[in-house]
Amino acid sequence: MNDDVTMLIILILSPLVVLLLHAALARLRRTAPPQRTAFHASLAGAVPVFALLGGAVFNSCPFSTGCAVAAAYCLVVYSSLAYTYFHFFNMSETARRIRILCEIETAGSVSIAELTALYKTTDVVTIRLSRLVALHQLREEGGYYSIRGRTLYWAGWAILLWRRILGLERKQGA
Amino acid sequence: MTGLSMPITVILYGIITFSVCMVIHVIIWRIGTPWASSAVLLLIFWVIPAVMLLIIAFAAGGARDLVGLTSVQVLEVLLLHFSLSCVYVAGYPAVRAVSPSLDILLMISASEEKRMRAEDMLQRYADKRLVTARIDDLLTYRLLEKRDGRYTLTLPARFIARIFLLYRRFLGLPMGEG
Repeated sequence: MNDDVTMLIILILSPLVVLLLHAALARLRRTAPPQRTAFHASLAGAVPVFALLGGAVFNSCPFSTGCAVAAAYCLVVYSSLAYTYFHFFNMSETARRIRILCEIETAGSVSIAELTALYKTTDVVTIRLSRLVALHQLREEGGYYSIRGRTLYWAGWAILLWRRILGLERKQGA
Repeated sequence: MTGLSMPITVILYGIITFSVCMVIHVIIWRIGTPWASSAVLLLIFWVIPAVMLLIIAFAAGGARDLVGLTSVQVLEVLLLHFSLSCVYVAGYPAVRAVSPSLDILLMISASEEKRMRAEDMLQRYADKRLVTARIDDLLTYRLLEKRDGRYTLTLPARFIARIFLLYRRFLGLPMGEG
């Protein structure tokens, strides 16, 4: 098979590698914050994927600009797909709409009172506070929450800026 | 079998394709956020580029000659564009409906003492309809139906919910807390 085609197939299947690793890690690390495990699986997936690429594709690649470009290409594509996998997991873990869909699928049908009893606004906030503390983004002392890590904080600012560029900020409160 | 050798133009065209889609997205959104914004986003970033690049890869030999790429290299451009698009599309829900997690961080940072109690944060969210606003979204996207005061899932929504439930079961995890 052509090396380009082999490379494409390995990269397209790389999220599956991350998924399998994640399934193993999630069972081994039950007490760790779920997002941290998903993140580690996305990083660790690079090992088998790049080992496969090295053995199947790059071992016949002469040391040249073309080979270096291909390696950079693989790095960008794998990183993007692994990051997307992490986001997919994060959606399953934190998205309100996904939780609502899953609750209704499990129950068959719900009234608004049943749904808001299952999933209250207070839950939305307290769950997130616990999560942010577990991910070391917030510190809790004596009932007060303060910023600890800056990763998500700067992500919040970037999203705010992007909303302004898209013209979303002037339109909403949603 | 010849060794892999990728021209830099594959990466350049992939980035250019993604950038053009991003510019189109920004222009359309600034004119007016589309009603089914997520569907339009997928059209801009996935459907239209995929159709165009697949036509170039397999049918439009003249176009391939113009850009100096083989069919497989055009597919490489498509995969690069697709992977970059996935990153943006995956993050878009947090842009569209401000994530409460990020909002909490910004709220604490903006407070005078740089620290807040949970009760103070809850007060701010009391009128924000954190759950009911998302129910309205699902109704708008025709993922929920309301009949006789009860909500049920439409067929596409059942498919989505089952995918996520199956996914969580595969990982050995309970349903996410939301």
